[in-house]
Amino acid sequence: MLLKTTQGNMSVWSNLKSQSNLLVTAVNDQWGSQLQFNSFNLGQKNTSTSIIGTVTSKDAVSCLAWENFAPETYPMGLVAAGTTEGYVALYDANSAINQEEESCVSIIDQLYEGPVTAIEFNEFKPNLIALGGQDVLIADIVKDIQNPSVFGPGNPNLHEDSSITAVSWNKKILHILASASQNGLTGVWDLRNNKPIFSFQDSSAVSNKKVSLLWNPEIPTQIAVAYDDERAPELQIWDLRNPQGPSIVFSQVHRSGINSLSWCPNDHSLLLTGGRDGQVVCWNYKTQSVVSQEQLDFEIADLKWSKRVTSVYSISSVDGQTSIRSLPSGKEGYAPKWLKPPVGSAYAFDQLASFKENNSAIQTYQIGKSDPDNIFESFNAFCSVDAEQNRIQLEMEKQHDQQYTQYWKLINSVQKEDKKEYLATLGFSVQEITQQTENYTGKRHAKKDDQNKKKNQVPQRPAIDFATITDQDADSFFNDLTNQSLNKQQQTNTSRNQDVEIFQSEQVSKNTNWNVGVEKIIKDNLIVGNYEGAIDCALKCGRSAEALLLAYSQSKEIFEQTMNTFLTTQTDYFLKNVLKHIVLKHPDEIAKNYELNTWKECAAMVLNSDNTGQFHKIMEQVGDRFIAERKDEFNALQCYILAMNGEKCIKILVNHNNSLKELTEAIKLLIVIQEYSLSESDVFDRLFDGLILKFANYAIQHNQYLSAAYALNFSSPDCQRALELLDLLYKGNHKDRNIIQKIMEKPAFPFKYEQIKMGIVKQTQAQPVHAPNQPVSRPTRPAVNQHQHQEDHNVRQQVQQNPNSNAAAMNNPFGPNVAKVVDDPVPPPNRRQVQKPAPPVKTAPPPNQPKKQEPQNIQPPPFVQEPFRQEQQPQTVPPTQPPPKHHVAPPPPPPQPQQFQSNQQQTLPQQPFQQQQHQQQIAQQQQWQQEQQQQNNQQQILNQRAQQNAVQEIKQQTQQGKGVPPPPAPQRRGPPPPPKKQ
Amino acid sequence: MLTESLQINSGHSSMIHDIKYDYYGDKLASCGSDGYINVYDVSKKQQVAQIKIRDSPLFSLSWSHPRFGNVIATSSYDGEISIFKEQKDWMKVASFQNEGSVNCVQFMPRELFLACGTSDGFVILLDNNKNWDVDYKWQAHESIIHGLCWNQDGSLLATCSADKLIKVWEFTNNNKPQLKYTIQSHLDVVKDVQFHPLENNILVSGGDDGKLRVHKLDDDVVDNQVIDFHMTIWRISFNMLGNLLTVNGESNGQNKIQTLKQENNFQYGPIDCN
Repeated sequence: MLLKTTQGNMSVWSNLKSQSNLLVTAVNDQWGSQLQFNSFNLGQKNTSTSIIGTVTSKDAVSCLAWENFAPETYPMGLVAAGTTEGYVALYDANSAINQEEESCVSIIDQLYEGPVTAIEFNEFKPNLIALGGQDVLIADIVKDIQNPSVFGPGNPNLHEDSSITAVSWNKKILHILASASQNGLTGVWDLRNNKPIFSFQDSSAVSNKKVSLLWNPEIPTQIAVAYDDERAPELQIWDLRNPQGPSIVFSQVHRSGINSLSWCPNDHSLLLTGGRDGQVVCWNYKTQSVVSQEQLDFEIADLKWSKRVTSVYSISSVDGQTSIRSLPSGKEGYAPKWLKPPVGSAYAFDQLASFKENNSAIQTYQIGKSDPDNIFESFNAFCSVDAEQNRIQLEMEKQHDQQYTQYWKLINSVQKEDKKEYLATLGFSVQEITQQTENYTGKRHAKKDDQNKKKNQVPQRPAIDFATITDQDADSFFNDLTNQSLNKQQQTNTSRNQDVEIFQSEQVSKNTNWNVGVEKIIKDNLIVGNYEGAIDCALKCGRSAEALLLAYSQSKEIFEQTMNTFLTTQTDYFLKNVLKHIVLKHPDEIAKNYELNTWKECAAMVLNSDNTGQFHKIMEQVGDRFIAERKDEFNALQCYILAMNGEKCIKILVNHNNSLKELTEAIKLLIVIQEYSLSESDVFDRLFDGLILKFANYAIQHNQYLSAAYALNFSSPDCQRALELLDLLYKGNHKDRNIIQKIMEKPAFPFKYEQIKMGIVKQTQAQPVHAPNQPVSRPTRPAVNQHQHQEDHNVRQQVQQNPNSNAAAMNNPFGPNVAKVVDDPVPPPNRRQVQKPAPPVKTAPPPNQPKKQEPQNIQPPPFVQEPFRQEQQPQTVPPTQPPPKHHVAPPPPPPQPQQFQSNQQQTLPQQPFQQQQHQQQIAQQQQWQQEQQQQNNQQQILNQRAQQNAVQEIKQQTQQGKGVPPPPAPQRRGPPPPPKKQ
Repeated sequence: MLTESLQINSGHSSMIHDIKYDYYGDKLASCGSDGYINVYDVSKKQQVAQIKIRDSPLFSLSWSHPRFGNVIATSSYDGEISIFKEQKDWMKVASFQNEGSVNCVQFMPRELFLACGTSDGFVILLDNNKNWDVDYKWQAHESIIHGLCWNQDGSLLATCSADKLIKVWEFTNNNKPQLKYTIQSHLDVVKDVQFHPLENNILVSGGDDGKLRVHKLDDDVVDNQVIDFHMTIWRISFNMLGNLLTVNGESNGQNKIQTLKQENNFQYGPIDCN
């Protein structure tokens, strides 16, 4: 194929990697010669090369060579031109291209009387230049390029009385040189020993014919010669190991003498010959066949493969035109080496397959799995445990960093919903505190604890406003205050401990003489009935108990006012910020004000107040404070765990996945947290899916497919990538496939099935590619998805509805209009995007509900009816059935908020902190409040039971739905069951 | 890390030029100079199909996504692109005849949309939705296209050529592919180009200059890493998630296969051998 044209009687290619598209041509005319540096760009439309440099020679050039030499001095190498006047000129290609004035670096003269007919650089030592003329000479430019040493190849001279037509350095052994002369003789020289070592002569030798000669670049004992002989235009390949005659003879192709020969540098099987008959023939000497044959309309003088541009060669005609051509590609037969990958490999999961040219077998390799720090093994153990509680237990028993141990303890207490557990986790031992209290007061409190335990069975009332306080309530409160102050006075026989410090800070007047000082004023006020004055005085002098007693005896308003005054005038931090809010039942105020360092006290107190309904909200607020005020994620996360707020938990954990270990711990925590998270959150799902995918990728990269599958099971059903990976892991051929298939349900195929269309066989004879009557069966599908049935149904319907278009399609399969008719109703899918299955809905239909779908095995119209195309399947039909959600086993349904609350109210009222004196009052208050409202509550309980029943029913329904495959009921997510067998 | 496992008798009478696993890794298909595609069942360890495609070397093959069933595309030196589907037997579904050699084919991930690179530098896109008619055909390179690769979401197509260039073409909503990057870092023929299977902006390439180059495609193209293998790199293959990379090359007639593992920041280093 003709690519570019230029001028030139001969050419030589650049051997520069970076400048492979450079060609020097010698244009001879009556005034001498011009060397032209041609550059070309195959992509450009113009058909001529661009001349980027020229050098003028006063004599005609008879042979050319170009080689890289001393790149620091001659970055683009040296061009050597032999002339008709018997000398060689060496040009610096770089300065020629840059049009510097003197690009000729050396003239090697006094070589021959006649023309220099052959020239070649030694590739290994480019300072050695072999020359042909009257005889063979070697010029060595290594010492002095201006005055090179010139010597002969040795004696005797094989080419006596004839002139040289070709010289060629051996391509493997640097000191071996071959030469050919007009008398048909080819000689081989050993330059190390300076003597001829081999020669052969064409039997039909006539004088004055050009013999072309080249060493085989691959096999150093082989040499190709071509004869410019009209009677026998042959290409011969001689092997020195077999000197009797040529090993291979190519003849009968050229009709006239062959006057140029080039061995392909990029595929050593290929030789190119050009003849006086205008033919260019590409030979494969290994298969001994003609690869391509091209007839040109001019006599060929010179021809060269490009050294570095594969498949490209240059051809010069005797009348001085040079063209750049490429080997016609794609003809049947031999494909050149540069197109044929000799080696390659492919991966699938933990397997690598590879092939090599010299091996007909495909070698497969097994890639081992790796498990740094047994992370995956323990993750698998975690996932294979069936119940949440056991998982938590497993993690609690494990050696963890301290923070994880704490997280798991908290989760454990949340999971148990046991206040004692909470308190213990927060660092408070109920028993210890009870003991301390008893020591101090000399009074048993354990009994009270027992009573509370009994009351735990009763759902706790919601928080009540203080304004509704009853007399009895206030009385109890007041009594406690009194007791407390009495106890304090009786404390002489009990040992002091640190808890008593609070008492010490109280300002209790020691004056018991009510006839002097403030006491007298109080008494006087009482006498005159000025209770408010008495209260104020009592408060001011620190007789808080008396003040409150008095206030209580008056009215609710006065009591409330007094209490407020009492609490707000307190300077004690604890009283002001904690006790006040406990009494006033504003636990969120505690959250806002409590010293963060002791947040656990706060947590415990809120837990014990009757505002446990707000416990989660308050813990969330405390967590938020940790983030906002201290950026303390460790404590914040603990608060969020107690708050059962999955979204806030994951927002912290998502920042801690830099190492595989951290990521795995985070995922384990989140697997459990998501079960208890009080609210469903898209943010949680999105973040958790991201973490799961990251973990799954890690696992797959370590060839831990089971771990990946376990983790992916917890992803949300609308995470397409997770569905795809799960499908891939379930069905894929890898070492964990058996166990995954054993323990997991088969996931639905997460892609939309689509039918391939019959294409039009282009530009070739129409040939039936399949038996026309052969029914076309679908490939066995691993999972039949209802989506697809729907489509089949629609296809059939559409076929029935559009009989005309169908007929048209049959009659004129090439008609573009037909395609339009059928395709138009349905916009073609955007092929750049993945066809996502419709998002699954949450509940399965009742199993007995008749399906709307047609029978399952509708075949698409077989190809018989439509030999050239298939109907495009409708894409936009909204599926009535979602693809079933992949699932391992029916997990417990996500906690229903209502149900949860009722559970809470049943279990949370246990109040082990009551023994502490300040809370005693509140506890008692709570007790009578509970009793009071018990009747009201009964109605509430009834309601709750009704709700629970409803939940139960839903549960049962869901489970029934699950029992009927396919499809398994779309479930949110859940733990896989333990392996059936281990 | 890598241990030799079983050998599969290829059943080819001459050189193999490409092998590919199907989506689930159950089947391995190979194609070669004898014009056959052979399919092996990896678990059963036996050949399950032998499909005569052409009397001409087949350079490349590609499995479709399984949502279309088992579909294989291949291309030959004599210029035929053909698509086969497994029914009871393997059946030719469509074909396209190009004038010159077609050296590489690859389905867009998840779609029946086939990109093919030719010896004269053209990219041909064939589309199932157009009954395998040519969607686009354009001169992508000056010279032989040796390799091409889709990125994982099908938005980018990388091509590499004997013109020493790598080009990345962007596909946006049915518009004509737009040239997005031209990468000129190789000094010689670029034989293969592969996108990282997870990362849209990581592209590796190799060729006759012996260099494996890991490119980061951003606003500009950054050479993330260069490793000199001192051999002609013919084919590069990633494993499923791109943490392993195998470089297949040839040096002085010797074929070499070297596997690297991904380290930090998409740098690749030698694997531990045992």
